[in-house]
Amino acid sequence: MCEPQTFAPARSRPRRRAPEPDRTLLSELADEELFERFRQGERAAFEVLLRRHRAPLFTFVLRVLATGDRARAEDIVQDAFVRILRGSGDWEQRARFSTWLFTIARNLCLDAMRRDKHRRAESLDCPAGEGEDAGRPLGDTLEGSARGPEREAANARVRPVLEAAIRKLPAEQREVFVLREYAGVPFKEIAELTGTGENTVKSRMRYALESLRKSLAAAGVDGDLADEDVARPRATTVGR
Amino acid sequence: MSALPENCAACDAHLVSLACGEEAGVPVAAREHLLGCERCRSTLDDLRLAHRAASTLPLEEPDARVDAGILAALDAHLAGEDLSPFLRLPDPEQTPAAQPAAPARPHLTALPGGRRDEAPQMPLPRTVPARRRSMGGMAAAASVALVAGGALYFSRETNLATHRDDTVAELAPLMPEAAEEAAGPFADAPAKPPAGAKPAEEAKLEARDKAEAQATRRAAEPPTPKPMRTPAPEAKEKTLALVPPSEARMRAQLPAGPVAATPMPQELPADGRRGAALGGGGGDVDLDALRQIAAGSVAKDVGGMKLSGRANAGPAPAAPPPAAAAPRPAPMPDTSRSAAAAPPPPAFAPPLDEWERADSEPRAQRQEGASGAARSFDREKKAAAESLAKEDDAQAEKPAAPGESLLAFAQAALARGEYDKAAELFGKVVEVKGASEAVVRAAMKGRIGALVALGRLDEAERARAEYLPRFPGVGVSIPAAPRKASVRSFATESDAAPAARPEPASEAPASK
Repeated sequence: MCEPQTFAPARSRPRRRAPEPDRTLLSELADEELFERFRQGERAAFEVLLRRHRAPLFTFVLRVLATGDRARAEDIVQDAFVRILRGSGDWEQRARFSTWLFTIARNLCLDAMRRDKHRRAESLDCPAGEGEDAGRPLGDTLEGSARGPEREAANARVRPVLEAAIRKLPAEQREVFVLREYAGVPFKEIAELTGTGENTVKSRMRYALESLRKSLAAAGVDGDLADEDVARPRATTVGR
Repeated sequence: MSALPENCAACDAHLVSLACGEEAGVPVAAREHLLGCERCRSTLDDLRLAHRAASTLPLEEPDARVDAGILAALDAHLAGEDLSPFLRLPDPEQTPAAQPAAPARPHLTALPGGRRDEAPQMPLPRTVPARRRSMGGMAAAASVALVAGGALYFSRETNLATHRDDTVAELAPLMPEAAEEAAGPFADAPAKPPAGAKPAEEAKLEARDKAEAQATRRAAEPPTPKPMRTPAPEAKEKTLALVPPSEARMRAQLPAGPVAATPMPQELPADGRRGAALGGGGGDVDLDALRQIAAGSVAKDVGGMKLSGRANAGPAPAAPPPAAAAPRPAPMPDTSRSAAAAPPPPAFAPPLDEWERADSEPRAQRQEGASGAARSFDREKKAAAESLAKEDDAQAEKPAAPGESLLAFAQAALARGEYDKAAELFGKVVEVKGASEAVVRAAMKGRIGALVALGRLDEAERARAEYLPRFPGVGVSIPAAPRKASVRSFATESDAAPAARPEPASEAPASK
């Protein structure tokens, strides 16, 4: 029922608008199925993949780079998708699409960080420092949700602390943490992606969480802040 | 419960999975343990708190232009176009094509003091084939790098013998006795590898070795002028315009077909002579000394052979091909008395450009009718000489590194033939603290050469045993054949050589 659509107008028939692909159905498909459809020429399938992964991928790149350089993170995201397009002909459905995508992005991040070691430059987007008044303007990160003002205020107080704590994490812990928390990649896939064992990944995640907990405690954040309703589901279920 | 709950350590391994919501793989026993263990539950709460706090951070959204760029790339991909323009970061796949060609291998250039340095590669004409280029570089290096006795050990068994053959061939019409005498230690040397094309790599190594041997080259002040044998008066005017043997060989090969396919002559002369062992113990021909003789009526005692010459006034004949060395010419009349009455020799070591100047006219004449490749070869040679002169100047301005001055003394002593002193000085150079690796290497090699020249072969063997493990990587630059030949084998061959070679009894007494 989700067969590839043909958009070539039939001359013998009266001209009519080509039917739009059923995006609702496409969005329910798994990544690998979508990519396979794209390989067969279905453009909309790739658009669904792009919509599905752009924000998690961008967040992952932004946090892994830890420089706050959004322009560079955007460059990496675009390059990752372009490389996906370029390598689509060679893709084999042995690994998950998300693993492939995040591996490409991770490698690009590593390259960028390697270059930055020699050419350190502060980004205008980079948070100026730490503390309550430092960091990115809160308006950039606040979501227009229907949460209560107290909750928003509390989150606004916590975010700079969290962001600073994440930036302080060692690169390998930060990588695992961001992949798990913001990209929703399971531990097993993270292990494949980073080329380490699953237990190692879990250990890194554990250390990262403990570091964050210490940072939150140092900032006076207790367990009351992170209520269950605040923690919203991440991309864990996306495409899986 | 029948089964014991997992202990805290085992449960601890699953806390991260529980905190992050991956509870599928957590065993039931761990959950049961959590119910009863306050410590583990507290830890899990802490982890969950951090996890939940982290989840309050929103997902970041990229700018809309990123989506636009990706969608444009998508359209281009579907249209079958190249996606490289859509990449924002350096594309490693496109880099090799985009970048200029990798620089050629640095050209090794000899510096004074025997050090090698990397200099920009000489501009070579595109019309010169690759093999020709390598031979040109080799000849250029050979024209300025002079080999003394210290290089004997590393060079005696290779195709450097070909050089000796060439030089002997050039000298043979003038000094047959000397050539015969000089051929002694190598008369029964092991046979060279079969004739064939010399590998380019080997030729490069040979050139490098020659440059390295410059470490041991020093202007040798001739000992007290002794009665010298000089060539016939008419020959004196025309001969001794020495051409570097490799250059002579190349010129001899020029008319015969494509140069690139011309193999280097490897076979022995017809009479089996291996060539002259000139200069400080018989390593290789001391071309510099021969040039001195040719240019300035300098008498020199090289390798026990007394040579003399006068300034090259007339045009020199073209270098004879190697095959010309086979027939032994008739001995020349002894004119040593008239040579002994000659005025004292001028100061030694004329500058290089003087040699070039003296050589330029006959070279130009010789090149009449030669191919363009031969002319380009000469340009290369001149460029190499100029490059070396510049580097000499630059080197003179540099402060001496630890051990360099001592090394220079040792090399001077070696060049003077004071092998005892040279060996001692070289040994001291090795002990200098902070001496560079190049200095130490040159000193160790020079010491080996001095010891060989002294005949202290056991010590030379020991010195070699110290040298080889210390510079294993440097040993690569030494041609393979001489590395295989040990000092001991050399000694054995040298001892056996006099018995096997023909006694030059008839010609020798004139110089004795």
